[in-house]
Amino acid sequence: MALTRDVLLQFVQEKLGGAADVQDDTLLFSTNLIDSFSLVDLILLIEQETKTKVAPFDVSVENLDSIARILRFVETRTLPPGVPA
Amino acid sequence: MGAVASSRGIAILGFPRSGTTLLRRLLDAHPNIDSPGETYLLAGCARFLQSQTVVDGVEAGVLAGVRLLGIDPQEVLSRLRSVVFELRDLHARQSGRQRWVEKSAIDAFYLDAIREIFGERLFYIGIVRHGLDVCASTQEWCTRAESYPTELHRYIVQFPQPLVGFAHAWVDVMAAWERFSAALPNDTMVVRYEQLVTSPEEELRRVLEFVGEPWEQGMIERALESGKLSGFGDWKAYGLRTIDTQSVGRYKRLSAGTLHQLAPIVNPTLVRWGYEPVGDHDPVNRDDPLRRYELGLLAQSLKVSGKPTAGP
Repeated sequence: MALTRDVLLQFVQEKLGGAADVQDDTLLFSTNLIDSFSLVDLILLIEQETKTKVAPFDVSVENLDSIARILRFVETRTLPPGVPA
Repeated sequence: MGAVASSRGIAILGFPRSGTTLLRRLLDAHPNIDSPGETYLLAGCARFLQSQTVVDGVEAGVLAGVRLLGIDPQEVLSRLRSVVFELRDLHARQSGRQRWVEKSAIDAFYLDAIREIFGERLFYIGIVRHGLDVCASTQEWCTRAESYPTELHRYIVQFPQPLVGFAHAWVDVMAAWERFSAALPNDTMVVRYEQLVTSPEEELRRVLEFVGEPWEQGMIERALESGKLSGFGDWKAYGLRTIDTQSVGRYKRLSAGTLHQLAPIVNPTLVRWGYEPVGDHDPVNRDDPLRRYELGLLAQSLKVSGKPTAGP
């Protein structure tokens, strides 16, 4: 399964129980739309689908706070030296 | 014994949050039927008979005790029935009705004993609802009540996650109902919650035919208009002014992780009762608790400061 927009959208909507209309630029974490537990699941999902490990400094609202940001992060990220894949 | 005119009592049996109060309220709108709030009479009789096997298989309980006195245990059962029937007949007469419905949420946990005590002397309507909708609703109910009924608490102490306990409880009650209805095939019928809220008139007609009462025009509307409160019951069902299907499938709002846990518990019973098995589509692999812990710390620090602290 690739980490597509649809996969992310389904993931977020399941977390929200269909309670909100989520768009690509909807802020998820900084607005408390999703909680810390869901953020952990989100990062695990990213790691599974990209078969890489998300580094601590990549856990940021700039990278993870909306579907658009997550997709951009997944596309552009490169693993720094020393971080195991 | 099926659909014949009769003054036999009627018992509504179902796991809590399965629609038992809704059906009770609907039946109370019938001019012949006295269907008040919860009396706990059936469960009370069952509890009276509870016994404990102690050392060397000795049974400590009422039936064993009276047997030692030379009294036939059937005499105890007969007198228990009389207490229930006399009290309910009395209330039915006071209400100007000819027959009664007995319904308490916890009766479903005592089906074997209820069968032993009342056998073919009652009509039994079993209400069945999707197990995970029941679990989700039960969780809400217990939160509102700020307590667990004793019958559910037994499961809570076994399973730290309440929904897991509720799921096991639902599976056990459904198995007990299967035994119950197999033993009393002519005295039992099943109403599905999903059908009751989708086609209330059709289901209610079926119930009335089973217990030998005629359909009463306008009884659904009267039931929903009535603000009559009598005894404990379901706060949601009392507040209903319309019947709708909005609570069907509410379990889908449970998290994927929770569904992943509950699916193997409830799926065999769901399938046996004609429901679709719950899909286990949790996209997240939860096999690495240490990594979850690390990420949990990062997520928390992000929450506090907006930036993660140096993590592992």
